[in-house]
Amino acid sequence: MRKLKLGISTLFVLLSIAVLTNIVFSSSAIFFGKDFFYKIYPNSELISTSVKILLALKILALLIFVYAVFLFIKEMRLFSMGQFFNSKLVKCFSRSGWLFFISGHLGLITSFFVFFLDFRYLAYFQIDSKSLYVMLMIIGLFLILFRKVLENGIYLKQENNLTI
Amino acid sequence: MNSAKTLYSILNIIMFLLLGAIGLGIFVLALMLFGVKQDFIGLKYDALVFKTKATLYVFTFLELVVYVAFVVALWKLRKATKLLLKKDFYNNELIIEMFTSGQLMVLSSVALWFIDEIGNMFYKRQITLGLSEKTLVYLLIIAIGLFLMLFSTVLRDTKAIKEENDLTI
Repeated sequence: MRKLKLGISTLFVLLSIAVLTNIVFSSSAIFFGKDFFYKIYPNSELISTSVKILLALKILALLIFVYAVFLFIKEMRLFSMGQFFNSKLVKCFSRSGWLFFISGHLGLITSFFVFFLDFRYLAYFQIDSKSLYVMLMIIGLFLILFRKVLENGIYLKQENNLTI
Repeated sequence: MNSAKTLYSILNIIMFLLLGAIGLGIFVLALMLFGVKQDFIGLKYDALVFKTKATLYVFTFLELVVYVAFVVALWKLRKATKLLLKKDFYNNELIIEMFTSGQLMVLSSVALWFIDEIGNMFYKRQITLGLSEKTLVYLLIIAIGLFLMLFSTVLRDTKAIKEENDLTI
């Protein structure tokens, strides 16, 4: 149990480090004109606003994704203890499910527009695989669905406890 | 918005896209086996990256097999969502479909990961290491699979409670 918790938290920390470094590097280059890797020698005045808006949307999608994973992991403790029928879990499911769904949508839309971008900027749109965002949408919808199932289960369990 | 309906339609679209891609892949591989030359559809990987040409074909074939396993998993998930659409939560079929779909998802993504990494190590001339979005996708699919397996046990528990409940009345 403890090992599982440790493993999941390490994975989460690694994920957030990867996403945050990606965000820091790309936003410093596109928004502030400070390129750490000298990929495009950008001049922040030359970069069009559409690129900036796209990057902002992508960063928003990634941040929502990390936050949703955080919310989800926080309540997974209950799940691993076998307390499935808990109202906290239902709330967490619906909230993180919606967040996953929204971030999947945002990411998918931006990754479609990235297709039309100048190839010089592509180095700054690293995490935009479409399959990742579609998977996020599927996870979100599943969590929302399971919330309904869990609610039904809670109701049944209460009835069961009352009849005894 | 009905989440089950949206999920069902998304699964349908993905499955048809994947089936089309697999069909195209098998078609191209068959053309290559029979020695027909064409240059309008190519393989995903460049032949120059691989050490020999045979490894490229083996690699592509293995990936196609894993994609088939993934499509089977999606098919089972689609069946399960169809049952969920009918609000028929406590069904033995649903539980079994969910469990096998989760198992297949974990299996296929782990297999694809291994094929990718081992292919990189042994077959290719250039190797890229690091965390890419591909790794994230594999991890996400493994997470979905494990989650489905977990949820099928939850449903089993609920089903037992429901049966007990029905009996006491």
